Amino acid sequence: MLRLIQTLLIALSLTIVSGCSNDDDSSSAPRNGTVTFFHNVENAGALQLKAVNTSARNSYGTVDFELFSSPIFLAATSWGLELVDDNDTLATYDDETVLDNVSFSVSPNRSRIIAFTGTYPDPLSANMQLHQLDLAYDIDRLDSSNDYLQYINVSNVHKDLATAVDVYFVEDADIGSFDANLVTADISGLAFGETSETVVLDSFDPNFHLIITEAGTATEVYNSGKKELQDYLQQTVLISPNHSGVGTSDITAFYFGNGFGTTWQDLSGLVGSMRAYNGVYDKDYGPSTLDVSADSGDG
Amino acid sequence: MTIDTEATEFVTDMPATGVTYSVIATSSSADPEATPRNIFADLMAAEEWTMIFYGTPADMRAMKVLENFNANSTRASVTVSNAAYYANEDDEKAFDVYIKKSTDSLANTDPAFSEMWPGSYGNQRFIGGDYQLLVTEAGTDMSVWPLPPTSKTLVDGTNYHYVIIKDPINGGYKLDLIHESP
Repeated sequence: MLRLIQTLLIALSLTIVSGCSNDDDSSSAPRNGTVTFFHNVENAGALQLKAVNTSARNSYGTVDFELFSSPIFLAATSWGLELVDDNDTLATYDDETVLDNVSFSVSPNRSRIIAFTGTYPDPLSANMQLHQLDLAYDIDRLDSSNDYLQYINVSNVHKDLATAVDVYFVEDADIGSFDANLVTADISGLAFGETSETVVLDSFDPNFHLIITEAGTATEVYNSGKKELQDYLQQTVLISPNHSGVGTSDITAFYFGNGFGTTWQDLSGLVGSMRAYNGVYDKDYGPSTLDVSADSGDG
Repeated sequence: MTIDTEATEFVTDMPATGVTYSVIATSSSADPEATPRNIFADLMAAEEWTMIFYGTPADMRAMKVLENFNANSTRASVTVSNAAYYANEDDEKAFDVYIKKSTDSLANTDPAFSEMWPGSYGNQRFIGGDYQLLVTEAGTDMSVWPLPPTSKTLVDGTNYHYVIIKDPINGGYKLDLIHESP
């Protein structure tokens, strides 16, 4: 018997605190919000990021196609983000070509994704402020007692999404008998650049499948495969054009949680790798080694 | 795995389709206040993460970097991570990182990475050649360099990862090259 997921569509209002940031005394709290850039501009190669305001034009490095930047800490004020063509970059920046720019505000304890999509050299931007209650980098899990509460938004950065779609989060245990009654989030009509209301998934199992169908039908256009959602306060799935050549669908998805983003394609059997660095200094007791272990939840 | 001071160890072939890893670092320090440090990493695809542990055995910090390896054989890729330790968050300072060709004037060079706060990182591409890496406190006079300048010959198609860490010998902070690979 299917166990329906308790779903709350809570109207966490998209409290975009824009236009009021200049009154903030940002000098005493210079990094109280973040912006992350998502490079989804086809045929662009690497792109550079510059954040500009009345007193600064800061560089934040380059990002490759279909990757996310590091979260960039910024003062809570108004900013512009310039997207700079990296193809002609030398050590000096006098001749750089600004492909696009967007204005945005940084709000305390909020993060923002700015996605540039489209095709080089004419990118389109989608600018999303996210609900983040805590910029937790080191302690990046919540105390979640016995069950899992996943807060998740869905954003549409697919500029050519021709028809409305329905979005489902289906528990892994239910996937064999998926039917349209298991709607846990319906984002029909979500226009380019828009982000859905926050969906709260309350489940004993953090493993879900994200399934996207043509609106009102059971015709799948995307299936993420089994993905483990996290009990972060902020998770976002970005619906994107499928540039990878994997599968036949025009749609794919990316996942952004706790400041980091990655692809969410159903690619089974992949392996990753990890490097650990010992930068701990021990002034009083001299050099020390680190014992580092990495265990998955499966033990 | 056991990692010496300012050294790196590498683990491969970790199942990566939506697997969360708990990475725990325990110091061998004799400091009775030494405390293990835990950080989580979600491997969603064929990614490579660098987990940087810094600070002191009694106040160990951790940051994670999703490596962005160079797909362009005509550029060198430089990642800089700021793992500068400050005991009090209110004392933290941001750095500007300049990466310029040895023959170029600093006056004509913008920072490759501006206002890097502890816990942040960035990646930039450069045409191969002899470079200087210069780090200053963000927004300050460029005649004062709190970190010793570093020279490096960058090779096209190669990835470099530098970390800003506390310098236990000389005080202050320094750049440490933790990874270099074609």
